[in-house]
Amino acid sequence: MAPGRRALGGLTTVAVVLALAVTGCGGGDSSAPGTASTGATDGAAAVDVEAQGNSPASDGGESSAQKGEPAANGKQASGEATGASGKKKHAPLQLPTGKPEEGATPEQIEAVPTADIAVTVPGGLTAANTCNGKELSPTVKWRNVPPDTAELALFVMPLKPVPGSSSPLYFDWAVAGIDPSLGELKAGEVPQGAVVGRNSAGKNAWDLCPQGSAPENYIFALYALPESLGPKAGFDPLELRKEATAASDNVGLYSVTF
Amino acid sequence: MRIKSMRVILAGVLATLALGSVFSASASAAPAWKFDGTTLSGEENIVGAAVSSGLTIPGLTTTCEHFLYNMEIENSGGTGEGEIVELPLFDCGTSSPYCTVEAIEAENLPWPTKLMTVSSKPYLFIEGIEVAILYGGEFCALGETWVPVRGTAGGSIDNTTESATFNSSTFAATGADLTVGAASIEWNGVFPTEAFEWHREDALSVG
Repeated sequence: MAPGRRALGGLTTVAVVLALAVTGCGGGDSSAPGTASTGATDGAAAVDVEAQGNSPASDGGESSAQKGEPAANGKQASGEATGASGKKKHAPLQLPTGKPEEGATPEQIEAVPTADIAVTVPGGLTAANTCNGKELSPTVKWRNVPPDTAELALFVMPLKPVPGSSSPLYFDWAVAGIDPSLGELKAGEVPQGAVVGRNSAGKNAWDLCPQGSAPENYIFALYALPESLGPKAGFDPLELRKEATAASDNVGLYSVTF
Repeated sequence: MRIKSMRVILAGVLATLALGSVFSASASAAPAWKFDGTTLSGEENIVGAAVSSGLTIPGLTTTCEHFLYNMEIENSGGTGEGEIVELPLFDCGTSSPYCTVEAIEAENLPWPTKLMTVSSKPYLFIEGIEVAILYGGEFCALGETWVPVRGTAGGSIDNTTESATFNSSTFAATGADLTVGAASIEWNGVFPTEAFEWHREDALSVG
């Protein structure tokens, strides 16, 4: 866009002003320019009404040329663009009643993933991966792991909690101490150096026993850890996940429906 | 003889290229922003609030009660383009009773936009999308996890309803792809469009 263009105020204010105009509370009709300004109790709102700049009377500063709009446009020069016809072509905007969603705090922004770890489970999950089959862990592949990653930790969880579980999160599999350079966990294998935590079925192993026949979504969360968390075989996945979440800004996610 | 044959082939290739460029130009004639049927000159602001919008990671749809946007538009070289400069989101939550939205952030705004035509239909294509969502919930498998959504989005523009619709079909038509890591995710939404400045009550169309 053209440099020097005057920025509008917050969109929230813009939307409020626009809705006021559309719903006939002033500001939207050139027959009553500045009504919203007059009625506005919020200084920002008044500024925004001016920022509409669609009425010569209400445009407090910028010329058409400054706006990048040709002065030869008769409609704008005459102010017709403000809806002098009185036609309301748009339904009023549905306005928020509250404040905008809490923006991220500076601390949270720092924690936004900087890498884009790509995790995949080629072939997804099949009956062979369940307790009704061979109960083999699936192949899990990854790429785009940050170069300063010391090791990886993988947690596999159903998206929905499992009723009756003693833990708020149910873990089908938890593996830590994974060498990032491997690029994959092969089906049914745990690489040398990696350790397996105690899953929610009480086993230090992969264990997938879906309840019922309805499809379930399983989350594969792969944390890139800048240093080892030193887990031992049979570690508590809930505790290690908390540590991993605190220690790592980068997690690769993959969801499999089975 | 050989040289003559090559000249004939070369001429044929050049003719084909010339014809091809003519046809491709007409086939890909870039659409422009129009108000009350008149091509926009200068700039305009479009603001809107989604009629509906949902971002779906398999098994989990994130929605915002109010999803606003502010897009600056202009026609450049006969082609409609613009930038999404603001994207405030209100009252966001998920389809799961266990997962909340702790924070949601549209990052690295502005996001460039452009109009395009696919199979004679106008589309709005958004590039550089970056949204980070922090989920919460003790019982949520994504709890305390930032989920970065990145990529592009393509939505079909309906001149009669003055709205842009984004769904899997419009993504496929435009080649758009929103991803979390290696996984494509869905974005469904309907966004009315409304000019805010000079053309506030003029009918917006694309063509």
